[in-house]
Amino acid sequence: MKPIGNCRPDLDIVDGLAKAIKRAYQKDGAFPEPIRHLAWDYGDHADPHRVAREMNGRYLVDVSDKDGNSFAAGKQVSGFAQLRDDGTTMSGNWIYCGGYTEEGNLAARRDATDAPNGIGLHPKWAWVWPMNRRILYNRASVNRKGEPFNPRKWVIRWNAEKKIWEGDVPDGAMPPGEMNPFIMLASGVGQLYSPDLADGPFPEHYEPVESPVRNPFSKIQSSPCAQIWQSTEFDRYGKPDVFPIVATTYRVSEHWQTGAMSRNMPWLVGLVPNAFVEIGKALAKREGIKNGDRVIVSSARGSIEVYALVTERFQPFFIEGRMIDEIGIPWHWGYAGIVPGDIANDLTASVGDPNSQIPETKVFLCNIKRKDRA
Amino acid sequence: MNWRIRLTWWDKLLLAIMAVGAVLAAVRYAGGIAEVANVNNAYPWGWWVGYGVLTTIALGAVGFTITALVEILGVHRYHTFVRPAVLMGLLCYSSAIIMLMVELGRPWMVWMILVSWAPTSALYEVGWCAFLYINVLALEFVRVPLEQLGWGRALRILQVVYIPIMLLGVTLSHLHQSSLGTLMTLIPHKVNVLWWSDRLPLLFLFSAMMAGPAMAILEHLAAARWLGFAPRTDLLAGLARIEAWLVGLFLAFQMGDLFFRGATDAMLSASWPTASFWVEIGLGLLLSLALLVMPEVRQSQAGLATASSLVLAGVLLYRLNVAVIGLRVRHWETYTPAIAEVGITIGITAAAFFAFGWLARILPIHEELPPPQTRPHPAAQPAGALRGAEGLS
Amino acid sequence: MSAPTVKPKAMIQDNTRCIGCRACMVACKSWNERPADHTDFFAGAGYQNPRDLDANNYTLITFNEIVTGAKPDWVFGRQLCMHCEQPACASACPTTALTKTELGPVVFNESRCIGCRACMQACPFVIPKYDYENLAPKIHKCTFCADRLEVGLEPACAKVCPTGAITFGDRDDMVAEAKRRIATAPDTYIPEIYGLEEVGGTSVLHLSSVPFDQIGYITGLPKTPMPDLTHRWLRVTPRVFAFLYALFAALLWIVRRRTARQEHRGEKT
Repeated sequence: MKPIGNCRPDLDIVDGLAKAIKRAYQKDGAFPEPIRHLAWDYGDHADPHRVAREMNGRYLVDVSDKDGNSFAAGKQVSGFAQLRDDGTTMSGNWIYCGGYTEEGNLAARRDATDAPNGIGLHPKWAWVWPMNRRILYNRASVNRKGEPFNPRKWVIRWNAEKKIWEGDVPDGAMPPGEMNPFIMLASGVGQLYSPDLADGPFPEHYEPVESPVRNPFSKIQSSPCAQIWQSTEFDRYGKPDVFPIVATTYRVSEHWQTGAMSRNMPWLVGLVPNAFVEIGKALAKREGIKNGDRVIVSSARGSIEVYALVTERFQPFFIEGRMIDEIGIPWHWGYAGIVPGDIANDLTASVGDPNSQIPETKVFLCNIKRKDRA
Repeated sequence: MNWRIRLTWWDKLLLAIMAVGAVLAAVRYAGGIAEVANVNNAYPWGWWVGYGVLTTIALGAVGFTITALVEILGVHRYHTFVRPAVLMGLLCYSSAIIMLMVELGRPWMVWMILVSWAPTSALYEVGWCAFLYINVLALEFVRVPLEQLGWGRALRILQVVYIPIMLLGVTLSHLHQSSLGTLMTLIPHKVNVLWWSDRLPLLFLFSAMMAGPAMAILEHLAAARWLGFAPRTDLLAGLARIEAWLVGLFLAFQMGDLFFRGATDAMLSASWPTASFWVEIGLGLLLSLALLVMPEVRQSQAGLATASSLVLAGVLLYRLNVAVIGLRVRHWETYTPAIAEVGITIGITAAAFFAFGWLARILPIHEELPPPQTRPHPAAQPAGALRGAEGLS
Repeated sequence: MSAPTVKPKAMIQDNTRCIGCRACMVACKSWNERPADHTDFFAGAGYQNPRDLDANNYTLITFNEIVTGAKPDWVFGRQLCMHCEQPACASACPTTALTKTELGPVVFNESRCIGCRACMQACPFVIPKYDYENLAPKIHKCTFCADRLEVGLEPACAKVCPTGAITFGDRDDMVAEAKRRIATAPDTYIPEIYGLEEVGGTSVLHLSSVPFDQIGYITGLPKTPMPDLTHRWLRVTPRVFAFLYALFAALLWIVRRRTARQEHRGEKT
């Protein structure tokens, strides 16, 4: 069935773009060689199988390994362990190596047979990376003799007669006792303290940088390792006397991320059109806000104008003997699309997670006023 | 035949109303139903069906009731009312069809009813019966202009088929007047308990019969005033007595049905439908009955006109109550007729009035008048002799 | 070899599994090629859009905030044509534009429609919607994806529902499954299957955790199929016609004979 209108699969769009760009760079361009020489051969009508095969990787020349096996040029590589750093093999992405081998497209398998451990592993249903290992670090489920800690729900176990692991693909193929499970760490064992992390080792409760209450669990209000930028005019932080309301941000089913795609889809926009904020009934009554009114939500960094949705689903908190309101702001709007709207991120705080720098967009302080009272 | 009449102020007023109606109808056709009417998804039938179809067809029952009274029951002294009654019936049904052409979403497809087989549909039966009946009415009435034109051959042919056609008309009328009620039996949970009944078809039939004598009385009084003859007050008094019986029986039937269904509590609820119910019963049945049983009322023209008008208002209100005012769909939408919606129907009704007045002046409709001046056809016999050819008189 | 009997289909709408994602609404608009709605805000509690079924939306998720005690609950319901076993709309249509098919769907044949809207008046669930602004208007309602069913596919809404709130299969199986769910999880469901017995039974069976009238359903409908109410009058039409015609003819004949006799006697004396 043909897709409606001008809809096309992502691959077709990317393929069309790449071919057009390559054609343009044939004539001229600044630094054209990487683009001219980019291998892009997925067919006149881009074939996802060719892409998947390339992700897996193949031998570029005839190769033989130390055990005397030989692999002809052009054959698919069977696993990332066979990939070499001497130009004789290629692979689009090593974690996918093993998913599309000479046996075919393993991700397309639909064999629902369970593994011998009967825990719902279904190893022949599709394929997962890496190497179809379904549960990582699964050597942690057995003792140093290869015996499962829980025999009724075993993941892997060592068969001493046949000298092989049964069940899931073991995370580390060496016999029992010869290596530790957590293969990504030098010691191979789990760690409470890590020198690579900015905070830890034990969990602690810290209030967000903008919070209306005192941290009841610690003398230290907010994470001392949080990254708090102070470099631009937007790096301001609000106090509860001016911004007494807690704001959080979240999504709706109908839009995706910042809405750059979904706000161009007429059916989705018809369901959830304009930017809005959800507020509780008590707060709405205090501010004289009715469902559907235009409101101004402000924080230390700026303000946005959106619709107000009044709902039972936001109930105030009672903390430290006071009522503290929370409001919710879906963050799907921007300046383009069928229905543009003010951006929730204009309000959020420039606070980054100590390790990942993920911003503290889920909680900050704000205030709300009906538009004509702002 | 002389088609021309001198337009009175009443004619001009009617033409003006018709013009407004025509403009509104043009808007309906050019812009869609939504441009003129308030009918919506919860209330797809409103004034156009409640008045334009249910009431107009009920008023057209004058055709079969008077015809049955004179031709079947043999009460020949009322024969002077037959021609006006048949003409009123013809015009009422024509009006209903024109209303339908406005009301239907796809009026150009209406012939589809005639090539369908939908015996479970009350509207199908109404459509077929009304279609056949309007042909019967046309055949019954066409004798009048033929008489005026002096076409003897055609008249003799019609004379042969008159009785079977007339019987067919009376039978068909019983069927579709009751089927209008069957239409509403389908929705017991939407029609107010005061009106929904298993016996709705019978109630609708008797309500239509009740409209007959009232229409005949009012027409006679109006024609006497406008065309300048002395009204037959003795006959009118007789019709009024018959009417009193019909109103009394209908009142008893409706009340009895209410009690039988155990719906009497609803008569005392504080709601608009209940208020409308009491207006319908009070004015349309109780007051009109009280008037009609009094001989002084039956002898006075003002009394007759008042009582007959009340009866017809009651019939109109009964239909509107069942299908519009008393209809409650459990939905957020509400319905009140739009002015344009009503305007179109008033235009069509005005056209019926105008047509009646015009035909009454160019054709021998009223026996009380001398036949209109005409250039006689060379082969025709004098108009008076042909009167004997129209059945017993 | 005889052809296999066609088994009628049905859907379960399990509102306890519905998360209000509205994939069903979008899939329905996609399959039926309906245009998008132009809205500004929401038209009901929560994110409901549009307010009601209409010519462009053949199914609708209603958003309902039910507050029992201290905790509010967000409960969703679905509106769509119930594809009744004995549809009032099909029986009311004077041109047989609506028909109940063997597989279950009540299908609409636009080429027969005269726009009388008897189906809209008749439907106890207030389902058929009209495009009154159109110059050649017609009714719009869920088709149960009758064209998909004919080639062995399931309705578009059932296919896309991510939580299994919409289940599709043979009606017997669906009735049994609905009863099984209520029996095995009495704390989850109210003991009622909406659509099982209403107006003679339908092809869409709804389950819920709260009373149906709290989530936008029309309740209190009779169990009799609606067409029965008109059928008992209409089916006697031919007999009544013959009887009345004969009756009036007989009356006519009797009265005329009596009149003729009176006149004859009058002449003699």
